[in-house]
Amino acid sequence: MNLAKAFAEYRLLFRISRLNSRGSAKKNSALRIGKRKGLSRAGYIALAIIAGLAIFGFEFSIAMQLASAAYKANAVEETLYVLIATTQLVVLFFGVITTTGYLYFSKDKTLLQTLPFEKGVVFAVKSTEAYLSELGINIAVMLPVTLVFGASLDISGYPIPWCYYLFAVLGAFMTPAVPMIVISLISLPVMRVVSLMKKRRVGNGIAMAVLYCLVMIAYFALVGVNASGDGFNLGSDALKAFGSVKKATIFNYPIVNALLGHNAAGNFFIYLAGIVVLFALSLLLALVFYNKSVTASAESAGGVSVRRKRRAEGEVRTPVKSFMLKEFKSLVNTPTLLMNAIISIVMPVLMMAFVRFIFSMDPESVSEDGASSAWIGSGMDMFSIGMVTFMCCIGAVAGGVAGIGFSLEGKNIFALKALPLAPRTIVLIKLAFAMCINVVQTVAVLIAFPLIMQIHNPIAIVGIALISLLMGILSNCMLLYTDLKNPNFSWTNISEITKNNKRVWKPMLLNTGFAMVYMVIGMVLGIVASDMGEWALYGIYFGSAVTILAVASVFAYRKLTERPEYYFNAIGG
Amino acid sequence: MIEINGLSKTYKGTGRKALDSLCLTVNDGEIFGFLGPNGAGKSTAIKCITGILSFEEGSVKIGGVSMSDDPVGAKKRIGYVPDEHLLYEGLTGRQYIDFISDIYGVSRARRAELTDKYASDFGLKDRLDETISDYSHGMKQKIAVIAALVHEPEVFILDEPMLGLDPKSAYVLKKTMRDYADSGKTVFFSSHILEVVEKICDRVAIIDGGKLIAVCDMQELKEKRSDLSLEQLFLTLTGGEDAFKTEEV
Repeated sequence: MNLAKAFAEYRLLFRISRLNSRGSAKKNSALRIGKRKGLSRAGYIALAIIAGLAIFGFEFSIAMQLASAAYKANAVEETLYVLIATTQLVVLFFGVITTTGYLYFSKDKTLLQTLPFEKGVVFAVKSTEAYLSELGINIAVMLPVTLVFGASLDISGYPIPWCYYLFAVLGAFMTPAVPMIVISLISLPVMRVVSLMKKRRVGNGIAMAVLYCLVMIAYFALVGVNASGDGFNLGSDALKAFGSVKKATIFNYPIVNALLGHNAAGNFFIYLAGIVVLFALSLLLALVFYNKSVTASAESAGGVSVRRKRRAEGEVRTPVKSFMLKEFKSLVNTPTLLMNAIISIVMPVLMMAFVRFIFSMDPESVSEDGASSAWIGSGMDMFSIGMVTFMCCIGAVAGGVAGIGFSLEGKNIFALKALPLAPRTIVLIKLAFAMCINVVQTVAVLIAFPLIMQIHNPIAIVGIALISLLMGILSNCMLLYTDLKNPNFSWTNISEITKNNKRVWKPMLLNTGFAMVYMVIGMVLGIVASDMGEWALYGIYFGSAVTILAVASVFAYRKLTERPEYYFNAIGG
Repeated sequence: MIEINGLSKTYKGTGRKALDSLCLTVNDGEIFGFLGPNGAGKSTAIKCITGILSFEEGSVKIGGVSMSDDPVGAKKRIGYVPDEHLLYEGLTGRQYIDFISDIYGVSRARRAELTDKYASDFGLKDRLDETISDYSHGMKQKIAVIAALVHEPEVFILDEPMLGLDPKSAYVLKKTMRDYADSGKTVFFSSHILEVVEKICDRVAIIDGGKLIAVCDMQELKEKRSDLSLEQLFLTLTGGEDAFKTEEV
């Protein structure tokens, strides 16, 4: 392989991909229906600024408390390992969809296959794009925390070298590379195996979901281990856990030592070299697997599966049934979407198991901290219900079907417009299909909640299921409405539709806001009103949550069905 | 020159053999038409020839370079116009042509000269600086043709190229294909429009069920069987003779 030539091709393809994304975004922005103006826009920006400041405030406070605790416990180095590992896990957590989306499910993959690129160039460009799309989250999470952590230590009298700040900034750009490369390394053989399967699109979705769940379990396990200690005082358990994190993430040794000023420049370059070597390794693996996986995925054009059950002679499906079936097939044939759907069903259940695991670890240590014995009963249950509520709400949005209901159609939207179906019917079918996923999720919650959480109060069981269902209706209505109003047809992979799409953020932020508020309410009720009695506690908590969600759902449904004809007909000008 | 030898392709999803021991040689300086009913394997064959699909048996050589052994080298010799628009629609027409020119190492002067020539021929000169997503279907087809030709490939492959083109553009494309073949290059295309194929092709291959069922020289066909049109031949060979007979009656 001619390296100079490969590098020139890499630069060219990368530049063109960026140019194409910018051009598509520009076009998309020009096509928006009902652009925000004046006060509404200003209000939206103000809300975003307030939310941003709140998040940064939260990060600053965590960093300051951690710095103080780490200083007192003489565990600055270990804490730095934990900070870096946590941000890397966040990238790993979100990066699975992004990386696999860019590497395997981009719309331009067929075009690129016809062009004479040197081996590995396309893989390198797609990896870079995935890295850049995750860089923002890493900088937003890691940089403020590490800088405030260092500054707080400095103020406390801990000797922080000047290079700490320099390498904190540089490190924020480097650390996400490690999890991203790990994802691409794992995905290469996984996708190759999937490409050998008969139902490879379904296989892709399931493989990605399994990959995602594994990453999530690893993440929760790490957080769980950390949470088993006694909070910010960094007791012996926490220190032990921090030590384990240090051992597990020893590959971060050079960057941690560079931050602390131990042979700073040397360690920094060792870390950089490590990333380069890791990337070279994934590139080598890509030379063997990548092209074959991508080429195999192009074969779907000729795949016609054998029908297991033939329809009865003369039987005709209703348009609604046919359309629902088409939606289902789109879901199954779009691996990223299928993975999202599977995760949205599995995630609340996994979260329940995690919460149960945390709260069953060492109840004595909780009571020693001054909590009343009653808190361990219904109070602790309320605490965990708050967390489960949060995950159910997040899970309701995570399905992703509604958020890209119309954008996913791409150019087919015009074929859809030509169908003899009323726009209202199409909108309602899309809502019904999105709700199918939420219904499955609700059933999973209904079954798992009493089994895993060991809470058998009927109010709690029905309440948590209703929250899951109502949040599904609310989210799906809001997301479908947003997407119907301003669909995005110029995407190259599914993650781009939502990730670079600010319009989808608003309903997602609102849902997350509600979820957070109710998580806090659950926790506060668990502490201050634990002696109130189980029935009263659950009555207040679930009664208020269900009422708010029911009212909001009715409002969102009315908004969606108010004038779908106008928005649907406005698509495409 | 395209040399296809024993090319077989089976889709894993169905186990169906889309191509069955296909053997074909397309010479320099000729326009070669590739015909077949829907689902006959034309697009699969073209995707194997252009390196989009892998295949388990046989070989494909482009200008003597094997697609399996040296895909990059083989692809460098191909200019491909797909049946669906595989374009970066966020770019302008000119940016897209520049991108393709850069990949194939076309000099600035040469790409400007060829872009100017083809854009003028296809009536696209004034629209080159518009974003491709704003183009009509026909305009996208034209930009795909220009991008395929800008690097002067040895082999020009087109999959259903006439779809969506207005009569003038279709005429320009046919003329371009003829000129291209006359300059000693290979032109290989699939089409369902038999009148076009009959008019411009030097040789024609008919494929059905993944198997090559006939290769005929258009000149010979005209000379030896003046009573038989390409349409009649096609219908007879691909099992459409009933329709043919009905028409005769």
